[in-house]
Amino acid sequence: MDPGSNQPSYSVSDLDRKARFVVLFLIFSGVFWLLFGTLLALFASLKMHLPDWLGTAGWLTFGRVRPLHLNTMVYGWASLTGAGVSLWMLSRLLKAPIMLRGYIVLAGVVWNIALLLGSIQILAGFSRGIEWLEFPVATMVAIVLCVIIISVSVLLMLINRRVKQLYVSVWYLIAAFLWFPLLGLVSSLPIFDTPTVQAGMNWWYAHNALGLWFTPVGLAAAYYFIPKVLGRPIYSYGLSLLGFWGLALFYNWNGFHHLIGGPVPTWFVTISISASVMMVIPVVVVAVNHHMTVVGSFRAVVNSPTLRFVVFAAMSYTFVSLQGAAQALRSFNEVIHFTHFVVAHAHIGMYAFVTMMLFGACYYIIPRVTMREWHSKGLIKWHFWLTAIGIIIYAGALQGIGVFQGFAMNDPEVPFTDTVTMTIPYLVARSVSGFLMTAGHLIFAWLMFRMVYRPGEQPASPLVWNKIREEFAS
Amino acid sequence: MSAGALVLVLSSLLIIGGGLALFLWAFFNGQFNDIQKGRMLPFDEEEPAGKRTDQIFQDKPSEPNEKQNKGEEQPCGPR
Repeated sequence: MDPGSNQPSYSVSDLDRKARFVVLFLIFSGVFWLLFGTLLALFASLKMHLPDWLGTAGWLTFGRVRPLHLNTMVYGWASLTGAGVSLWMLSRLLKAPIMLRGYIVLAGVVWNIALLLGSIQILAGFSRGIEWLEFPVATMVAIVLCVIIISVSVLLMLINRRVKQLYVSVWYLIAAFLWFPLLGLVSSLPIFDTPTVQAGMNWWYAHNALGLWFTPVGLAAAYYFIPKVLGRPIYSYGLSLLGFWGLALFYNWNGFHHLIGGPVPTWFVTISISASVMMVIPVVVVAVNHHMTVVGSFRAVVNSPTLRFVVFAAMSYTFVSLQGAAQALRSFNEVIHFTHFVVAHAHIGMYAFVTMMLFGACYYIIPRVTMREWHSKGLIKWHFWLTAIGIIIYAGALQGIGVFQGFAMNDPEVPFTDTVTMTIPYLVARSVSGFLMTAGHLIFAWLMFRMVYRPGEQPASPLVWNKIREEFAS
Repeated sequence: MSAGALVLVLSSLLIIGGGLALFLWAFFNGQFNDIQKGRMLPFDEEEPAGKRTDQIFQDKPSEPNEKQNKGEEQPCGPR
């Protein structure tokens, strides 16, 4: 703004400019792993109904491709992009530039190398064999250390902030950057040596990684982008804080509901079920708050690429969380445990909520840090509809058949083979939805690529903001 | 209880304790003194409340907020 002023206060455009490289680096790394993970997802999905396909090469068998799909999506796409999105939001909300930018870029490079190494390790058969933690311990610790560097940056930004009051998104993000290193380090300790304790650690970690790392980032984005795009403050700030501390108190006991019926102490599981049901409180609070903010502004949602994705994601969050609370009940769990229902549930969480939220965030952030407009509005719409319809088919097909599969598995009259063959048409539907989502991801990657690589003439002048013109006029 | 299970329970308590510590800090730091002010934090002079952003699918591009001035920009919701 005013270069002569030595008052260290920053305008949002200053902050965006300072954030440019590090945010772009983290988000683009994430997009690379999104494409890689998508390829693995297609392999895994096709193998479910074409079991002989690529079955002769050990490194392309289902037992290696599927875990690697999970790990690259979780620690590659969602974590790297989520970190970029978080840093950008924190910079704006704390009115402070991102701290330790060089170190974060370095950490990002190490993080990418660790992912690459971990991918080779899993494909070569050196998996740890624990769901969500298949990367060998050393690789995982390297990733956690990279997150810790970002956490330090977040704390430094918090100390150097130019605002007194913290917005609800900031609460979520600070908590996420404190919780995830704890989860990652505890899960890497070499003390979970008996199978039951290891299973307990597994689901304590995996469920918390979703609830205390990805969920806070996703909700922080929803609380930032919905008011920002609509130009309308959140319905009730008090409710939003209630939602945050509800999550902080109830979420971390949820994981053991994965072990219903397993050989773990019943009180572990019962606490977990109670906590899972108590999560209804923060979830409903968040849902009411978002709904009351958006209601009546449907046109503005449709007109904004960001809000299309963000509102879709926020609705998915409500849906998947209420479903999760129900699934934790023993009577419900008896039916759907070990069926495709749970697989679809996890994808509604990680895809329809987290991934769609990150897409929406990217559509807002990238034009602001690159000072460029999106290459094609039509392609953005294609991206939205392909991914949205894709995940709806995915969830509908697998959850629909999952219930019947569960009843069939509980029926001693039905031979086990029948419970497998009955799902095949729905597994094919899953692959079809996978191709839709893949097409969406390729479009997204192309759009992203065109934001940083733009040969020849610039397209027509920017639509949304005059800031760009000011930037180049001065 | 094995060491592993104990560590899990302690870590869970640490997570909750962290949440409570954040809450206490927030309370004594005066974060909750004027709660309704918090909802205006995403906005500033450069990007004020009442102004929509990111409306790139709008038919008539970059018409500086005519539509939303029709009674939609008053801060809504409970006091």
